[in-house]
Amino acid sequence: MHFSEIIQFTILGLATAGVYAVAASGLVVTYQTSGIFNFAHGAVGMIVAYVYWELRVRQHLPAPVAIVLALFVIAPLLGALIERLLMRHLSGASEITKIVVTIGLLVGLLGVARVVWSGDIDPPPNLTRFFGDNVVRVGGVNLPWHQVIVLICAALVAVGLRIVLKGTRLGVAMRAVVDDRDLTGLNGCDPARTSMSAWMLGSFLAGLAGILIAPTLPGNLDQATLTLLVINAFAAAMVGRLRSLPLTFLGAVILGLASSYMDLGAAHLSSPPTWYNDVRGSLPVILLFVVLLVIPQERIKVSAATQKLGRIPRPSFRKGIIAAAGLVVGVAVVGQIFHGADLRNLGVVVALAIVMLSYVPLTGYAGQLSLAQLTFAGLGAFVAVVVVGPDGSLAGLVVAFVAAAVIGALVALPALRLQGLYLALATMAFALVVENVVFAGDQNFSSGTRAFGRPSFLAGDHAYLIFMTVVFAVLGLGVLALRRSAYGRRLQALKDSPAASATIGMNQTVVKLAVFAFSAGIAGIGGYLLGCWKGQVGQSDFSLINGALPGLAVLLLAVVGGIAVIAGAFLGAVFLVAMPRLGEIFPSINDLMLVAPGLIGVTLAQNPDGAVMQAVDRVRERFGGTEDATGPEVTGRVDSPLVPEAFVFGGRTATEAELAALDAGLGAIREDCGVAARGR
Amino acid sequence: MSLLEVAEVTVRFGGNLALDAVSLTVDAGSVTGLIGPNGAGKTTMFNVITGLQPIDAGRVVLDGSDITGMRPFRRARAGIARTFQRLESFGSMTVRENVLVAAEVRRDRAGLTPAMVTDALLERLSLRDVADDRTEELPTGRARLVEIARALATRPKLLLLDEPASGLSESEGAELATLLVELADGGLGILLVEHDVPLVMQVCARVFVLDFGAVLATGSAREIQADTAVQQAYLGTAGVVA
Repeated sequence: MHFSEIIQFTILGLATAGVYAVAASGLVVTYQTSGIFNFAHGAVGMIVAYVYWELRVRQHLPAPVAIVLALFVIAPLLGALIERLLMRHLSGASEITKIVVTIGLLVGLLGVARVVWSGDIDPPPNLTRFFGDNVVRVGGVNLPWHQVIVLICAALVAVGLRIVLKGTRLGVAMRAVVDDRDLTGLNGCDPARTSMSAWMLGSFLAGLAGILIAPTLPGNLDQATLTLLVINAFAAAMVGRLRSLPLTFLGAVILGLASSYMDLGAAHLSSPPTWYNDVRGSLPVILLFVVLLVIPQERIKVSAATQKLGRIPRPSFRKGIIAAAGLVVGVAVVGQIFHGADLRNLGVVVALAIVMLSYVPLTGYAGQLSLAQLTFAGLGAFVAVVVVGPDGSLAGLVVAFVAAAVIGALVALPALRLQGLYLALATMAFALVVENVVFAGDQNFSSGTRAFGRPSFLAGDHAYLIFMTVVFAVLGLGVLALRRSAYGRRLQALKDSPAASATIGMNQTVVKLAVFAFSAGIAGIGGYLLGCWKGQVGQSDFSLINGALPGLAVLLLAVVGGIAVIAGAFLGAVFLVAMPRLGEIFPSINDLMLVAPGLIGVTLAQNPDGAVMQAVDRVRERFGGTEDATGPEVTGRVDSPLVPEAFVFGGRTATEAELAALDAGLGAIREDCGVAARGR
Repeated sequence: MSLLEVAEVTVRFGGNLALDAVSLTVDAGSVTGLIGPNGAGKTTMFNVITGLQPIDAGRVVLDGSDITGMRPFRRARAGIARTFQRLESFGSMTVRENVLVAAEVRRDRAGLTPAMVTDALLERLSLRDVADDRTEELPTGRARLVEIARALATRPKLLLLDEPASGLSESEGAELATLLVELADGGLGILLVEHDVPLVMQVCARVFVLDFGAVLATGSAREIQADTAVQQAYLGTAGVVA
């Protein structure tokens, strides 16, 4: 290993770091100004890179013109649109809503790119480096011009951002808006304009990073790859705790150098071990995970900004059992009518509905957002098929549940102290590592040909379909039982106020760990059933953003059906599977169907309780029923006497005996306090 | 021995001293007042006692055992309960569920079911008429009473109340005073942060005055009212309301 080689890889690493730094600083600027972490940041960069390729390569515009159009016209315009149409409506929304809307944007932009630049374009999308492969010689080392340009851009961005944020009125306003939008408005700044400027700037930086990095990737431009490159920016921005730009740049440098030196190592190892390549391929994700675990977390928040809390329905068991029976019968009937592809899709609906059901306790009840539920499904399926073999047995369900639950708990353990956004990012990192290392590591699984079998008495499609529906119904009733239990109340309390749950003596670690394991286990069952239904599954069935039914879309539709609603899980699965199928049947709406999951995701900004709750509300408004969950609306409250002589017991006045019993109860509490206090 | 002893506690927020070697004690069976202007460190002190705020120096002792560094939920189980100045009720749950969940977490082994505890508390705090309402829809004053009921449901030895009277009507305030005295008579130690000076003077045996993160004065309610330094810092030089 020559010294000059080390220098060269160092400079290459710094250039890579430059791109990450540019992307990450865009992320930080928008987060600082709007309080929204943009999961779609990479998708924006991907779109701008494609626009640049379209202008430069397909429309044969000169590079400078194409750059100006892409970076200074299209990118800011895209940012302005995103702010105007989506982000502006999110101030005051819950953190989960904010996250899900930007994930919807990510999925939507990917859909747009797939529609506009569909798979078989000619010539295949490919960007060459600026100034081709020409090099400049600096101190005995050959440097490609492209890398030099990247370094110059990163330096300009660093200096430019410093001037804008510290030195201009706009920058000061940007920093003020995130603290209190309304207050900033009162002080004479227009918060809407400030926020829009930030999103335009963020979009520009994402685009710049996209254009700079696209030519350095091996092969043709790939939409998913470009979108996922943003993980690097996530990791770097997290080093700066989404606040400090200098630390963000430092994070980018660490990441850039580490990956460059691992490349250098790979070049010198004659046959690098598998783990080395695994680590090399997943370095940014691993770094993101590690950074999330080691950075100091905010403590339990007291008095987080007041936000509208969602509603969590609490149907009776009777209703639950009737609905479950109705569902089983319904699916059985429809299963008799459907054939071929439609029947296969119906089975996929049921299996995915179970995966989506896993979101109900975790996110709907406890307010913990995981992006890895489909990954847990895949892990459950994978472990179960390895343990019970391809012949199929009911034991596989148990194995899938236990395996996914144990893995879920292991992931949750370090991630427990993370809240909201950080938990979402940690589970995203976990999902990507599992996908790249575990799923891709097994030959059959990576090619999607891992064989799954059904037990002989359930071998027929109809029998298995009904069996899966029964499993969904039983799990759904289990989730309902959880909802109605004391433990369900604890989950809801945890969601409403972490600070208050701690101060009433709730051990949040245990509560969160249990719900994480339980929901991962449910997802694992769904994954295993999916495998047995389809006969063979693999990586592409359990991927986060690739594949026909990716994990992010599963999350979006689970939320849209109503994240806290058991029926919403089933409805979401129906939508998820029906949309691409409708596109197949009616090619004219195929394009729409590609974009639909994203579109549906972003509508959450308007309707955070989900479609089922909204529909139920409409019906009740019309027919004047009462709600299950939250009790009848009280209009015109009767002021209670301070010392009521008589009060109402379930609709009737209390008897003398009941009053006495209550008094005794209160006396016992008092006594208890007294004894406890005086006892020592 | 006092029920709660806070000894020389210091908390820094960046360069600012939020609490500067503050000591205070709360006795069982009495109400102790903690007053001071906004930003004096009262809520920070509550966060220190309940474990939500780590400290830079000092000790917190409950019932003779050192609880410095103990996690918030363990302190709650050791007998500390509180309400919040900016409400932290479980907004999407009904009033009854708010109290019930606390009673369930600190289940009484002696036979009172959580439901019975909840009913008794809703009754005592006159919340029965709103028992099935969503808590976030209540007016602030009554939501504060829900927090008190929830705190009492954990069967505390020490109750920290952060401005419980704000948002209450005059008659509700009087009822609150009665309740506090009654609870203290039952043996509970209460630390009361309150801007309603007459209420503080009425129910508190002793009063601590905080200003700029330091204890400015300590004494009986009568002594504090007479203290000129306190008058200047907090009560205003013009004089004191009785």
